[in-house]
Amino acid sequence: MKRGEIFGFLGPNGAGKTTAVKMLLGLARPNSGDAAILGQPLNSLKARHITGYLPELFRYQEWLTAREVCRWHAALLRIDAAKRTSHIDDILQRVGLGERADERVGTFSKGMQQRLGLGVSLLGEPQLIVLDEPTSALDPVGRADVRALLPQLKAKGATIFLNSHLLAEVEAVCDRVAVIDRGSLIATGSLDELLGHLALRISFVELGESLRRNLSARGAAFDGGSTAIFGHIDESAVPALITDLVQNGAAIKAVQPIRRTLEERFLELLKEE
Amino acid sequence: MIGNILLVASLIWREATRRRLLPTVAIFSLVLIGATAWGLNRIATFHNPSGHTISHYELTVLTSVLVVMMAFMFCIIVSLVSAFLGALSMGVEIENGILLAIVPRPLRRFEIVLGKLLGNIFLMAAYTIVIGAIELAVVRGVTGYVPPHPVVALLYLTGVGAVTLLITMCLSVRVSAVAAGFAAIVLFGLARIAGFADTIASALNNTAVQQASLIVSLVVPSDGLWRGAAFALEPAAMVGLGGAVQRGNPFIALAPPAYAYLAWSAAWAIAFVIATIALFARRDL
Repeated sequence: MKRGEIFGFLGPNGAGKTTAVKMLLGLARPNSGDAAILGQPLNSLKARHITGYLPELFRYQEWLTAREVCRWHAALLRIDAAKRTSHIDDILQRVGLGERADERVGTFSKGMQQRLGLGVSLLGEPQLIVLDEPTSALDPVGRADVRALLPQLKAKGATIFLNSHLLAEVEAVCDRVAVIDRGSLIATGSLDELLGHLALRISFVELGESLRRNLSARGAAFDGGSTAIFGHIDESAVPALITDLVQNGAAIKAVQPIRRTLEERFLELLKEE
Repeated sequence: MIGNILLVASLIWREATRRRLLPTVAIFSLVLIGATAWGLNRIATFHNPSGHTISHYELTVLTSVLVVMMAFMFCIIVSLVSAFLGALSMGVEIENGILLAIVPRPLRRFEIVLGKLLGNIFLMAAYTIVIGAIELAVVRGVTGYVPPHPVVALLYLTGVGAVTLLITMCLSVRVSAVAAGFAAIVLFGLARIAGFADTIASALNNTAVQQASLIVSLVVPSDGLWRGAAFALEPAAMVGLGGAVQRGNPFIALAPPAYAYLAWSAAWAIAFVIATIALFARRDL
């Protein structure tokens, strides 16, 4: 993983994703090998200090309030007592529990407990945040909240390790992904590297001869109607292409990027294995 | 290190009050104390067929025997409470996943074990000493009887609870909470049976049974400590009778535990703490 990126960790059931996460966090012991967290030896107190973790099986003391759970974890993290209250208030607000901060965890729904777990993982502004299936109990609103939160955390400099089954979610937020199967890494790279090149379909109101020649010269193919298809195009060149076509009088009806989804690529990779 | 241990222990104390664990056990214990007070009062005011009440000497002898028997019942309750506390704090938290969010924090696993031990031993000791002291105060109020060494007896009873607590916590790192609590109670019972067998075997001079009982008392020192509590509660006159009947009576201790046995019990406790730490350090969660 690189610092400051959102890293997706994928694999089928039983591939070893959660086991790998648990080894990184000192919850399970590796048979052999070694690893480091942001340069710190695995299991060192320093590594633990800079890491926040939301477990897949999230469970907090149901007889404490959300604020008390956070306070206890904040005390373990030695967060400055003067800043503790405002820090906890801010985090509970960010995960949508501001109004329920003083209610006991035992009265929370699964989704609210997962929001609390997310909040606990953010305490102390960790440099690495490990999220194991962070939206498994959330409703669509909660999932959207988490999708919006991750880029904010990244913008603040956090590195995020996201273990999720929801490939569309991973595709939407991750910079790079790794795919494992039966305990072995089978693919890793940026989404572009993993999903291949972007194709583009442009539909026109009318496709005249001069426009057709212009598009042909740029390497487009045609589907017989008024649609041009670029089989291989650099994503950064798309805005200039569209601007140029419009300035040349083309009436564009729709622009549709075409790329394999992460789910399609994921299934391909598993089949190849 | 101390800060982390106290933080973990503080959660146990808070849980006991928030979940009304201690108040509930205390209320039931106070009901039992009320029942014994009523029973002792009935004995103190008992009229025989000729219309005479029981004499002070008779009441003292009877109460001294009853106090030892009540202490034994209390010892069983203390062991049950200890098994419950031990299973709840370690085994249950491993099973339900609460520790998944705690272990990756910047604290060592041994600090978690020591914090939980400290919290539970404090709770168990507070329960044993407070309820035991109330019971003895009630006995004194109703009958006027005060056992020779009440404080020593309460400390021994706390030791019995600590043995069960340590066994439960150690086992619950590896087996389910229910199995660990059950095993600890069975071991407590086994030690008591071995104690009974030893008392009877010593009266009959059966060395084989005595040796077997000795081994059990070394492996599970709860009965040896219970005998210390019993001896501290017995008036000198009861011990001094000394005859074959007293030697064969499983509720009477004729001598306190030897210093060597107390040293062994302390070493046993330290070994169990180290074993619990070692087992938890190797436990995948």
